[in-house]
Amino acid sequence: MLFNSIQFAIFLPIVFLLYWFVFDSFIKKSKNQLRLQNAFVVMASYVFYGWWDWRFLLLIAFTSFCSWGSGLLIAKAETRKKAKTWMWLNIVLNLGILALFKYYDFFASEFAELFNVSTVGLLLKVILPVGISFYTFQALSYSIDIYRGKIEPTKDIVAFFAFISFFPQLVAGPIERATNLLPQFLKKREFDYDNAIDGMRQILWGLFKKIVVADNCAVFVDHVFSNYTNETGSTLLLAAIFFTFQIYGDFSGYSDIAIGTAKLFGIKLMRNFNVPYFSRDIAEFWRRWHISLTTWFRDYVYIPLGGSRVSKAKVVRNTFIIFLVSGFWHGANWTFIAWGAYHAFLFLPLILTGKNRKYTNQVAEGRRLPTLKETGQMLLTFFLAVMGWIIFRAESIGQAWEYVRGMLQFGTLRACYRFFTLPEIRLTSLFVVIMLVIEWLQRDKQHGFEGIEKLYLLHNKYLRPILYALLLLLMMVFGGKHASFIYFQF
Amino acid sequence: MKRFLWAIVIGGIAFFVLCGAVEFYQSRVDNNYSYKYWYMENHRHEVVTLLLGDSYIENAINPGLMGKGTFNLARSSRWIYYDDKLLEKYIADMPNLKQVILGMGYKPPYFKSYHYPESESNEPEMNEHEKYMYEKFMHIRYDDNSNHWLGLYRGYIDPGTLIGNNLLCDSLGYERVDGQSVNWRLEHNVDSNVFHQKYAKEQVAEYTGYLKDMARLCHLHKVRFIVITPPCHDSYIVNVRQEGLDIIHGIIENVRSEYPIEYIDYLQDEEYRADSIYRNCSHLNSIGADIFALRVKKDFGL
Repeated sequence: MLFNSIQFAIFLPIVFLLYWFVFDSFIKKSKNQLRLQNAFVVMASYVFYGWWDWRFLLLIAFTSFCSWGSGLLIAKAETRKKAKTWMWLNIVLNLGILALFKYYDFFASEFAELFNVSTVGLLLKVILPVGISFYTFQALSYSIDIYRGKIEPTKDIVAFFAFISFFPQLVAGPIERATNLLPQFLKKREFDYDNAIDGMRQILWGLFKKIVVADNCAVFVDHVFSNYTNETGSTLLLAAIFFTFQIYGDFSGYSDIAIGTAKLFGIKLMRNFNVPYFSRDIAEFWRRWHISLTTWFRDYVYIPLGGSRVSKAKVVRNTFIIFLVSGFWHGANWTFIAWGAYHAFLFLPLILTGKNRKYTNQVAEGRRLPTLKETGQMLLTFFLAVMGWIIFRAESIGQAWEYVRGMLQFGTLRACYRFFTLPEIRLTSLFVVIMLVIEWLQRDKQHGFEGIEKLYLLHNKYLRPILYALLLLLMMVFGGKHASFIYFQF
Repeated sequence: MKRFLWAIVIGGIAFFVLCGAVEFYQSRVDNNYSYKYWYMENHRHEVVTLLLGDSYIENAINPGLMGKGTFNLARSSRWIYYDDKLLEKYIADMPNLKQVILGMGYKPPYFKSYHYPESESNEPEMNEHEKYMYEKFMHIRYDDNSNHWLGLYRGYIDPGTLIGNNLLCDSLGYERVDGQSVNWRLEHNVDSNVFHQKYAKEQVAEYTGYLKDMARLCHLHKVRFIVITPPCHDSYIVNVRQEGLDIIHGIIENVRSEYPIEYIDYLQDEEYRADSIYRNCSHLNSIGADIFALRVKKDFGL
């Protein structure tokens, strides 16, 4: 079930009303009230997830059960060594499932090609379960955190299943930590008006980024990337820039809808994006892009390897490991590994010179506009990100290389012609600019529509819902046609 | 909670009121579809020559030069389904109708959906914009499940049709396009993979079925059925393949085996080699539309 589908528009209000009116108010006096409400969350989440393919439910239930059981076994273990064994068993099991579904065919076909053997009977050709990379990492964090003594294991299997399967963030994150999300399922949630209204606004903002920005960019991007050999350099550059906004609008839009939806249920999810295209260097970009994944790798891979407090050779090794693994997490293709390696090369000079944490504050803090230097830094970082996205978007490394080569051949100004003659591109560019302006003005806020009730026209509490409705209508009318979310495939 | 639900209810009501306002506004704004519908409802009895097809006809034949009683009912990007349904709807009540002229371009038989990437990967679906416009303004539904509201609110409708006055055709249904597009040689390239699309065969078969039905209707009502393939510029023709030509000519022969059909292929005609008559490499501009209208008139003795 997609967030931007009619089904979800029906599903969400039903679940919301049942959650608060039946499983909260109506059965308030029951001692099992919390448990029943959590069971309802699990049920609703399984309906949401099973909408794609009910067979996926068996897998997520199995992963949840094993991780829950491993947590109890880790805590019960008499020695540290035994606890470690249980933790590793859970890691191997979860990563094994992930590898089987996501990476086996890739390695098998690479093996077949390397040794020139037939792939007949070698490939599994299984469907990749939606969001498997997201919930697997969430499940892993639980057992690792118990082993590290950061959290206590829960005996409440229903709460744990709700933690793994909570539908707003199940298929594309944010990848929640057990330390943040699980305790919220272990205590009673209270409905908070301001929080719910803020959640609705965040959903609206996420829909704008997804439906209006990303989906409109997708039309042009898909066309150019599938005909890149026939396109001129300036068209290819324009399409690469559009893809940069497409992937941001798509993924951060999804995150905003997820976080906003969770707020309606009294659940607070972690922030996943923090205006990454206003970063002044690549290190800052990575602190602001897909935060839940980058911090996951930082906490569970990078720091255990020694992080940056080791010899320079090991820092280089650790940096490459984290970026390559992060790239590979996105999918079984050399392009993702190359994308990771590309960012590792950009990141290395910063970490080796100790400048990787130079920009930890918000750009132009306390000012309306950035300085010339900051603007230059942001543009350079943006350009580096664009180059990376070409590798990410390409079908193969060869295609990425051809694309970049084509981009450097500025034979004609066809992109400019397109820009000025095609109304779709003009309109899409306008939407991108609107997104950037709002994000810039709201860069110290959690999302683009946070606190907008303080703006002039939105003071009036009766006018506000009407303006939101108007915005929703305009979004639907001006929305693009690309329905699915890019990150679902990961 | 009560306060929150009230806010949602007010927002919901506002949303539906706005949707109603859009519907109302749209019904008051003219466009080519609504005009052509109005014309056929009120003046069909006067029509002697009816032009059908897509942009290759709507922009490429000036009916004013083809003799009294010619009306251009063609519509840009439409699928032949709509031509068939329009003919079926009106032909019995068109006493003066002598001939129906249908445009069959080099590519259209393969593209039920005009979204190329979708056509290549998924089973082609009818263009939602067309569905919406034909359903709302010409009262022809594509299928029982189609709903123009879904098309509108899933972003399938060109926003331009919702906002402004889109009546671009003249009183005879001709949409005049002057000059040339900036990148006129480059746009609308022939996709060489067109014959190898996953659903190319199915689309050609579907196209042939509708064409045959139109031929049947014309035969039944003793009306000449004329099919033409409009001319294209050299920069387009260079990519045209014999394989493709054989397919479109095969479609005609298939229909001809059952019903009378007159056909002329102007695609590579020597008269249409000048740059100045093209809007882009596959569409004539207003100069070309005048020349082409007179040529068709002469060739078919209208």
